[in-house]
Amino acid sequence: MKTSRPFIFLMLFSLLFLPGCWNSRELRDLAIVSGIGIDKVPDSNEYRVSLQIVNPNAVAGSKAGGGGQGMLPSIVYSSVDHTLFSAMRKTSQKVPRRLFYAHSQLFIIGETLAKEGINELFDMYERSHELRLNTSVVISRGIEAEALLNVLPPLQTTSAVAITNGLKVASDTWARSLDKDITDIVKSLSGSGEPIISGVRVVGDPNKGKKRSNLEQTPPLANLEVKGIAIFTDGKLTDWLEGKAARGAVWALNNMKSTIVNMNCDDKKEKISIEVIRSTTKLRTVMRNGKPVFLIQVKEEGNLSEALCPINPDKREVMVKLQKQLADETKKEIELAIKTTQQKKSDVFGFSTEMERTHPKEWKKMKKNWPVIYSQSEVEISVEAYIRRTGLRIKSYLKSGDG
Amino acid sequence: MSKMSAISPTQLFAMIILFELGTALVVPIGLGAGTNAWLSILLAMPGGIILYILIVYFDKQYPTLILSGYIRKIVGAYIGWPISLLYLVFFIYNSARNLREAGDLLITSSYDQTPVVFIHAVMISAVIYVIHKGIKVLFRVGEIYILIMLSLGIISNIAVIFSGAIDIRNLLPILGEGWISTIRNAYPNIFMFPFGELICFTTILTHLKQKKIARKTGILAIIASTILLSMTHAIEVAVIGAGVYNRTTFPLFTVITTVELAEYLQRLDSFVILALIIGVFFKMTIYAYAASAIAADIFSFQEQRKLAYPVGVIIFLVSVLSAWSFPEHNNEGATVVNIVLPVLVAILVLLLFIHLIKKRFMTDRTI
Repeated sequence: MKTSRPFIFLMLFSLLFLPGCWNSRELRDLAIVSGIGIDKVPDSNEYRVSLQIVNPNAVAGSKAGGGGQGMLPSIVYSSVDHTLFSAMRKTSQKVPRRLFYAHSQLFIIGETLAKEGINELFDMYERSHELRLNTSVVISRGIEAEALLNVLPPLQTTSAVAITNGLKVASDTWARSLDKDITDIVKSLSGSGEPIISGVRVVGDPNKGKKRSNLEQTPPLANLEVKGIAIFTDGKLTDWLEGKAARGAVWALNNMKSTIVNMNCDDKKEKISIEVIRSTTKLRTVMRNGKPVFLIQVKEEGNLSEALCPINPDKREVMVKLQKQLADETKKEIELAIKTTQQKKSDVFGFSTEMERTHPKEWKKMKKNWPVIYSQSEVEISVEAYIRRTGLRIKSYLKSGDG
Repeated sequence: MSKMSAISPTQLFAMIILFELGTALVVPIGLGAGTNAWLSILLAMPGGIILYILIVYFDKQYPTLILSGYIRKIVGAYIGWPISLLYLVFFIYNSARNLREAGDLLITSSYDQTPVVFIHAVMISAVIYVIHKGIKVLFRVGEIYILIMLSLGIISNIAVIFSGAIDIRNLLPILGEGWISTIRNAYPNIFMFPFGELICFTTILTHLKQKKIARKTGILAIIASTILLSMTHAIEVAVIGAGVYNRTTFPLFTVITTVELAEYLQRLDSFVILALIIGVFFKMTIYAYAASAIAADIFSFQEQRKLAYPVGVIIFLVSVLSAWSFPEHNNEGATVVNIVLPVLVAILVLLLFIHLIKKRFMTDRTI
């Protein structure tokens, strides 16, 4: 029993720090950051970091139907410094609570900054244990990231939440944007490929969007819209993919979940709608005559969901024709995306990774000159499209004019 | 002594798995093996098994002695004593290394405000306690914790798989650098860490209850832990890619932070932290136990349990003082894996030869 005395002391001593109060933080002392925006300060090498902070009282109040009247659901603070982390910490001077980043779900890069290069922005994210690597990333188009955070959106509590959700929904159902997170971007920046990031812009007057009155009328004076996909060359934003080219990129990147493809109905332009319900894309590389050739193989399935002309899907030829049209349209859009990225020497599709994986020896020789090799390489696209269902009707009620 | 503290085969099986998984589960192993880390782990396994067979062989030849005992039997007390001391110092140092690794990783991943000294103090007091209680208690605890460890692993793996974060193509190219570099990653790197560390068990096998199946049990445990390790590292690379895997200090943590299942099952970080704490606890305790056993033996100290305090305190001090930064700690690790451990394993092999020659010589003389 003699030996147990120092032991009891040891156990009692550990009680001092075992409860884990060292890192304790009370919820009421925290300022929960929902989104982070980064801009370049003109004519200097400093960053402006804007933090959107949720106002818990207003959020809770609005749900309870009262209480939080007159309070804004979120507030944006920004600070300027040479590094992002320092600027974030500097904001503490203005915020009466401790900044808490674990719930931040959006990282916005200002377009001006993106044009100057985004290579160095993510080191902080990789090192930090509090910032989440699966934070979505967008680029604010034609406006500063700070201004985008300032917009008070209808239907969601803060613009960061609105953009994150909107981006997800738009990417999954409309497929002209991509929900990319920090990990994806770091992977492409550290490899030989280039990142690809969706854009978000403000429709309407961003200055009016800051005010509460924005939420008191419909349509709102300022609203947020997910639009376009930015492509980068050497880490600098060089072009935007829009509309069909953007969708082509989504297809090539195997991010296609669902979309609506409009096709021609004989002489009527784009009057048949096909809803693509699933699609998978395989990227492969092969060597031909010492040169890399990229293969893109798409397999997709769609439903006929609208036809503004009298077609008769009863007939096999009609369905086969629709399938072929869908395949051709897919191929055209992917070609459009590839062509733009090849012009900008921007391998956003990860062909470099694919080369590294399947042709490690050849890759070593090509590595240095990859952007040029990419821009000159041949791309072969093959699409297999199936249309299997036509919804609750087969024939349309529209009568064919000429029988 | 061996009657007092008998270890069952199941307990040995559990402890070898816990020991092998230890830190090897959470830190990147194989020094930049990247996409082929999992393959190198599998390739290193035969080496681990052979080393274990060697340890069991020594135990069979000298059933009542531990490492320092038969070293002195084989090469004589004058050479044997300093060699035993070498093992003692290494066991203490490596126990401290494990503690430091846990402390640093805990601080970088979650306890960013807590001083390293306090984290170490809490962990070492548990270690001192269990060593003071004796080896039987340690192995019984191990039997319980293997179940906890496995359930943590199963839940985390299911979450990772169903979150869809795994991209098998991240593991390509298989053998991109050829067989030679894959094998060179396995030997000595992975062969030494974690398999070479099995030399700790030279102080433990003597306490076994059923010695006949010690070899079989141990080999099975090594195979099981190799499969678990290889699978975990393959999943890690498949999720975060070889690029990030080679740069990260704590790959398993990075992997788990990317998991998001149905938007509500996320932040499984605590699982990884738990796995780290459990793994390190058993690994450093085995090291500390081995150190106290050798110390008791070479200094002819009667009550080995009492050595828990001095050994624990030394481990605690070494863990704080051995390196001033985590990168330095890692570089020291490379020295351990490339130089120190190979030398210690080589000494064992050398002992085997001396032992065999002596045995031959002695039998000749008796005839």
